[in-house]
Amino acid sequence: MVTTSLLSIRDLRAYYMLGDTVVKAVDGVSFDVGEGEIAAIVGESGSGKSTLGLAIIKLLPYPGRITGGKVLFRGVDLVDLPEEEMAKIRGREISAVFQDPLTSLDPLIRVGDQIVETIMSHFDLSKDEARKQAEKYMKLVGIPPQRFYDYPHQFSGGMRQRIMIAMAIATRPKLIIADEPTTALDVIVQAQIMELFKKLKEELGLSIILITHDIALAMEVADKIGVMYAGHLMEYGSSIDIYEKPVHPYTRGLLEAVPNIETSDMKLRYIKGNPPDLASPPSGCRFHPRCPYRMDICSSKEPPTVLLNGRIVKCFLVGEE
Amino acid sequence: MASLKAYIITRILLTIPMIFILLTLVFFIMRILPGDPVLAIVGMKASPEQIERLRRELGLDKSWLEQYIDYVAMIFRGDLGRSMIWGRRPVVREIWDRFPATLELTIFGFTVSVLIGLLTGVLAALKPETKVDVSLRLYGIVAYALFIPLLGMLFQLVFGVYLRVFPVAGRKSPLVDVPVITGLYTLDSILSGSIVGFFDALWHLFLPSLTLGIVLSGVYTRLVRTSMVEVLREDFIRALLARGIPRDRVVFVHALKNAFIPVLTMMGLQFALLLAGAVLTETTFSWPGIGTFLVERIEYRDYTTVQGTIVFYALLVSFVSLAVDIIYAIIDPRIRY
Repeated sequence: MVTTSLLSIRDLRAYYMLGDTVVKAVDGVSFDVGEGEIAAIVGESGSGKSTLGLAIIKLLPYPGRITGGKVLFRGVDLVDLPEEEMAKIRGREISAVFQDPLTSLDPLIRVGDQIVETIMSHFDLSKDEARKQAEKYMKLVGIPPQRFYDYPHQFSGGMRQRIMIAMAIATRPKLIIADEPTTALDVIVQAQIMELFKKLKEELGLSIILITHDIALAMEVADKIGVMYAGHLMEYGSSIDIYEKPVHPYTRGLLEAVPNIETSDMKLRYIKGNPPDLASPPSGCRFHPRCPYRMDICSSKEPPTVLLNGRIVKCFLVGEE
Repeated sequence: MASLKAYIITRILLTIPMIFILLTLVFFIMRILPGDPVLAIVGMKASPEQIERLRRELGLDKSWLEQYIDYVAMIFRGDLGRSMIWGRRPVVREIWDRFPATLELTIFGFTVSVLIGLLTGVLAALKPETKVDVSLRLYGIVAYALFIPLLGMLFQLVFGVYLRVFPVAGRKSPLVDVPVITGLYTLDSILSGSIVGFFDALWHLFLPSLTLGIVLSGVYTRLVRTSMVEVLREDFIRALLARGIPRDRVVFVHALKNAFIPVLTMMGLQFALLLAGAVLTETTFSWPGIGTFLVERIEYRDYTTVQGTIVFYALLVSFVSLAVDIIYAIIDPRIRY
């Protein structure tokens, strides 16, 4: 299937300026997301994946800053866009759903009114019309519209995340950034939310960037998978390719670490060592201290990003240049 | 709502012992203080017989315990008794005559303090750790530490004596005549359609309410700042921005409403301080309210009036804190009693 790129990220850098130390949370990341595509960004905590998500919508918390690169959304570079223009894109073109649904809603305002507020800040509608829209989207995500007048604390975590999703889609955006949308929820609710994402993708033609630490979950729903490690995108390609033939040693490590009840030995596999401190990352390839295939060159030179049969790999194993 | 009713009843029942303890304290402190109302009325030159007769009349010849029992019995009949000096007017009437002046001053002082507090607090929170923030936090401490009569006299000197733009005492100009309806001059002048009266009342209110307002605003400045900084860090603020809700709306509607909850608690707690501040403000600006009255009657050792006024204050404070709790439940849907 040929898809046109909705979002092209080129050499994006987002740093946190903490006095004298600079934390390079996202350091030269490039990838494309096509229309109607779910792209999962997978990585351990502290790999920079959440920073990447926030950098795309330019909502980095202080003292975070985009220090370089481009975020091309339908050909427009968001990095250079002034704040007023960006505010029109946020919500309307690109929406976001965050990790903790329990704290992501204003606790003092009825959920229905929060959805209506979102709709009315992007469309010129009367309150009644906006209300009808809100109820429509509540139904779409599986919330009975009669709960319009309930407050956030009257909903369960899963229900609140559905409300967050209803708000994210109520403005009919092209892209949703979902940052660990199910991490705070139990597995059954997680499966329901993921089904909902797939349904939205199919019915509304949405593109979704799913940021998660769970590569198994990513495999289930995503068309593309990107693996982030210490601010670098190590591998990016279609999820089938990555599942069947992971190239980067880190991706292999992650896939091996997924518990599998079919493997008989009942051992938990993991990647030895810890992710590096992003204020002073290792020289060369950032994964080299933990890499089982480490070569001499790995500690001295940063590996190039190589295009390999439609996927991107950042490793010396697949090519010198 | 049934539980709210139960809560209100419990709260009202709890105020009874509180008022009782306060009353007992005031009763004995007044009597321990040297002097008594008789001396205040007839002076030092009165004959012993005269003094004796008056003491008997006022019931002061009995032991403290007997007096106390008599007084408590009277309170339980819902009677605050009569003043011990001059006209021997009922204490309730005395209070009622002066209460509107105090109420008007406290309403304006309170409004000024909250407005200044919200404005400075939000401003500081929006630019944390900048020069603006640091100076506003400094303002918060200094304002809180200021002594009302000192600030009041400073204002009187600058605006009243040097610049001659604001009156330094009283509630209205001698020639302005507005019929008293509620006793709140601003309201009365509106009700009787007197524009001159309205502005005259505001003109007189300006310095006293500014003095009271500034001193009380310090707490709000710091509290609003802290609370606002905290709320602005919350996930839902980021989520609102991510949905493209305009930043001004996020800050001034969503964040401010949430930041207001601890401020509301403080308002309830500050109310007693507001009344105390009003006493100082009234004496500084010769404001004919309960504060001036109370100070005067303490000097005359008008036992019943002082006791009655304290009971009145206590009732007022507990009523306001109850009202704050109810408003709380209205603003914050998570709170149920």
